[in-house]
Amino acid sequence: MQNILSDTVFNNTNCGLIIIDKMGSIIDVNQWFLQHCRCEKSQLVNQSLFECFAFGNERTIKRSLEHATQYGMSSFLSSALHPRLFPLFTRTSKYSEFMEQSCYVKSITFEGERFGLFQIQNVTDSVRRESLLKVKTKELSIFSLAVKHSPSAVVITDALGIIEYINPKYIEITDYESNECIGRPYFSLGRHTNNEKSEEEIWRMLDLHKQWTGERCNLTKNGNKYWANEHIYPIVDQNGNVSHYVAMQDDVTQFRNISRKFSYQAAHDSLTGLINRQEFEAILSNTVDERLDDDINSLCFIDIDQFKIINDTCGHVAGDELLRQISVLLCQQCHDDETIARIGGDEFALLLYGHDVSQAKLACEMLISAVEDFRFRWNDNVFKLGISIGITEINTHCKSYIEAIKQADSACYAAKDAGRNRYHIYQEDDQVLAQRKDDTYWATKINGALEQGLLALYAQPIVALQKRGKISYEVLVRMLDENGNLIPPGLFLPAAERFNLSHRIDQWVIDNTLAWLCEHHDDIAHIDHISINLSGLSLSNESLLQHIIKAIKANKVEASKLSFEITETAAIANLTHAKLFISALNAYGCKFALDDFGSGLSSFAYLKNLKVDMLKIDGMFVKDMLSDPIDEAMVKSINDVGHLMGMETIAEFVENEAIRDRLEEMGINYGQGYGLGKPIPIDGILTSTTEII
Amino acid sequence: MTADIFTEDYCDTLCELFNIGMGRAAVSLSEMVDDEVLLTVPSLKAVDFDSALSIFSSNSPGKINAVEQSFEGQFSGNAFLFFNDESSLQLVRCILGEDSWSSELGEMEQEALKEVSNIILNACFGCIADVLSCELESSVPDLITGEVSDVFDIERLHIGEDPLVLTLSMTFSLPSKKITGQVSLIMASESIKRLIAELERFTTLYV
Repeated sequence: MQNILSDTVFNNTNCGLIIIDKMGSIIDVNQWFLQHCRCEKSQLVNQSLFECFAFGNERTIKRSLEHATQYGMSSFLSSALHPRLFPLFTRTSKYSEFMEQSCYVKSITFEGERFGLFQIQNVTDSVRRESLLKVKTKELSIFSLAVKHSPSAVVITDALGIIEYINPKYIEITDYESNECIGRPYFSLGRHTNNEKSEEEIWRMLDLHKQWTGERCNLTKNGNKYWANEHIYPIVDQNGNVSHYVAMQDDVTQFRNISRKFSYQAAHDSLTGLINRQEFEAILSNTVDERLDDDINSLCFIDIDQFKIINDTCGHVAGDELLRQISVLLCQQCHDDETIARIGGDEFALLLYGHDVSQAKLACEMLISAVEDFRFRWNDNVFKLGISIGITEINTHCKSYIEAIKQADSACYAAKDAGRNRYHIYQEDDQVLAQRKDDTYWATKINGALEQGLLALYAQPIVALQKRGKISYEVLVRMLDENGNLIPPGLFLPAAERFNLSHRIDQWVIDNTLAWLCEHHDDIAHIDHISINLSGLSLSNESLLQHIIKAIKANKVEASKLSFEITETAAIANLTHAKLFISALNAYGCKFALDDFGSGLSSFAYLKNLKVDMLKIDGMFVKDMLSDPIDEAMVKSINDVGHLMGMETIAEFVENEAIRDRLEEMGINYGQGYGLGKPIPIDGILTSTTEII
Repeated sequence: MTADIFTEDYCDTLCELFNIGMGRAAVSLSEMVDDEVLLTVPSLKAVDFDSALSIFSSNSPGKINAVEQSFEGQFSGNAFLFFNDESSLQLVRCILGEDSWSSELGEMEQEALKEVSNIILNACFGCIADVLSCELESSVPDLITGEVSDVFDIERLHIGEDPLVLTLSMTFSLPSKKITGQVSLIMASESIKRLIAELERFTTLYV
C-alpha cells in the first residue's frame, strides 16, 4: 500500500522528477517528465541520462550529479544560466514549444546508496513574463530618464491638478524640494498675483482636452519672479478620461531680459536715456494714425542754440554732458504723459497730448524760461543757453506724421532765423516758412550764380569818426538774377549757410576782391583798407590762406590795405584755426576785425585769445542806443574794453546823424551804416569818396 | 563558548580548503559565463554569533540578498553567501550580460544569483567533505532577502547552542569588475568541536 501511494504521488506531481544514480543511469522517471519529453518510460529507465538526451551544458549536470551522489550536496540550476536544460516541450501551446525550466538536484540516500533527484519545474511563463517586463522596464526607464534629465522643467499632476511628480529641472528653477511639491495643487506653487486670469484660461483649454501654451510669470520658493514658457496638456486614457496633466516650463527670464534690453536699446538714446528718433516717429505715427476727430495734439521741435560752440570749444565730453543736463531739465518740465525724445545731435522733440497750439505755446514758454535760468558749468566756464522751438498742431488737417515733423522742423528753423531763444508756431501761410521752403531753390540758384558769375562785389564805407582820416570799405556780395536784377543778401545768404555754400562764396569774394585790388593798385591810395567777411569754414581752409599769402607775396596786393572780418561765433567755434589764420596774415600786415560783437556769446575772455585789431559793435545795440540806455551802455562798455585791449572800434547800423554824433562823443573810432553811406558797386568807390562824407 | 577555541591555525587550514573549493567553483562559473572568473578567499575568521551580526550589519547596511543552505552530517549548521543590493545586481547582470535598467532583481535574476551562490557554497562543502572525508548532506538553496537581522534571525535558524560563526569575505573577479560577497557558516558549539576534530585529524595526517 505504502509503495503504491508513493508511486501515485510520484506520478501525479506537477513537476518533473527523475532519479539518476552515480553512474548517470536513469533509475526512475515520473509521468510529468515522460509527458513533456514525449518518450516512453521503457526508452529511458536503465539507460544513461547522457545518451538519452543531448544537453547544452552536460558538464553542469554531471557536476551536480557528482555533488549529489558523492558529497551529498544539493544543487540548483537556473533557467537564466541554463536555458532549456532538458529537451522538454510545453503542452499548453498548440505548437511545440521548448520549455524553460529550473531544476533542483537533491542528494537522496536509499539503501545506503546516494542518488541525484532532479526536480524540474516549468518556468516558461515566468521567463516570458520576465523578458516582456524587461523590455517594458527598459522602455519606461528610458522615458523616465528622458523626463528626469529634460532641460525643461516637467511637472505631472493627477486629474485634479495635484502634483505627483516633479523633475530635477523644476527643482532647479523654483528652489522647491520634491516633498514640498508633491500632493499640492500645481497652480498653488509660485503663484503670481497676475496669474489668476491665465489659470482660468488654462483650465478652460484643459477641460476641452486641449493643450495650453503661453508665457507666464511665476515665483520661486524665495519669491523671486521668473518667466516661463509653459506648455500644459492633458493625458487622456483609453476611456477618454483625463488621468493626468503634464506641465512643462522653460525658464525664459534671461532671454526676456536680453530681448527687453535690446528693445530698450533700440528705442532709446544711450546718452540721455530719452527715446530716440525712430521710437519717437513710431509713437508719433501712431498718434497721427489713431487720432480721433476731436483730438488735438501738438508737436514741438527743440534745438539748443549755439550748442556747436560749446561742443567745439569745450570738447565733446562737455557737449554730451550738456545734452544730459538739458534732457533732465526738459524732463522735469514735462508731464509724465508727454513724450519727449532726443531726435538728433542737439535736437529734441516733444509730443503734447491734448494740447492745441495755445496750450503748447504756454508749455514752450515754460521750457524756454527754464533753459534761460539754467547755467551750464564746465571747468571754470559758465554758459547761458537758449533753445529754439518749432510748434505745430496735429489736427484734422494733418495728413501724416512726416508732414507734422516737416512742419515742426520748419517752424524750429524759423524760430532760429528770428533770432533764437524763442518759439515759432507753424502756419500754412507763414512768410518766413515760405522762404525756408525755398531754400533748395536758393541753393540751386547760388550754385548757378557761382558758376555763371552772377555775383557782384559791393562796398560800404567805414568812416572815421574821431579824426578826418582815410576812408575804408567793407566788401559785400550781391547776387544778380538772370535779368541782371539785384537779389538782396537776406534772401540767399541764410540758404548759403544752411547748404554749406558760404565758403565757396567767401572764396569767390576773396578772389574777386584781390583781383580788383590788383587791377586798381594805383587808384586806391585814398582808401585805408578793404574789409572782407570770412565765414567759419573759410578759417579752417588752409589752401585759402595760402592763396591769400601768395597774392600778397607776389606784390600784387598791399597787405596793409586788407582787413578780414570774422564773426564772434565763427571765431569761437573755430578758435584754433582762427588763431592760426589771424597770426599768419597779421605777419604780413593784414588787419582783423571781430564782426557782430555782442550778439553771440559775448565773452570778453575770448578777446584775450584773439589778436584782432578792431571790434565791430553789433548793430542791434547801435540802432536803438539813443532810446535804450542799456544798449547805449553796451556800446560804451564794448568800446571801453576794446580800447583797453588796444583795439579800434567800429559801430554798425549808423543810420542817422544823431547816432553818429553820439558815437563820436563816446569815442567810437569808426562808423558804418546807411547814415554814412549805402553799399555801392565796388568800382564806384574809386571816384565817389568825397560824396560820401 | 568563545570564539577562541577555533584558533588561527584552524582558520588558516579551513581557509586553504575553501580556496581549493573556490578554484573548482571558478572553473564551473567560467564555463557557464564563457569568460574568466576568479574567486579568492583571503582569510577566515571565527566570531560569536552576536559579534558576527553587528559586523555584518555595519558592513552591509540596508537590504541584502542571501542564499542559504543547511547541511547535516558529521557536523551541521547553516551556510550563507550574501551580497548587498548593489553587488547582487552587478554580479547577476555581469554574469547574464544584461543591461541595467531596473534597480531591482527580477525573478530570473534571483534564480541566477541562487545558482551562482549554490556553486560557491557547494564548492566549500564539497571540499570539506572530499578532503576531510566527511559524510555531509546539504539542502537545496533558498534565497532570502531582507536586512541582516532578518536573514540571520536566530528563531528562524534553529542552530543549536552557543553558535559560532566562521566568516570569510570572497571576491569575484569578473572581466569588467570586482564584486565582494560574504560567506558565513553558522554552527553550534557541538558541531564546531566535531569540525575541529576533523581538522586535527587532517593536519596530523597531511601537515
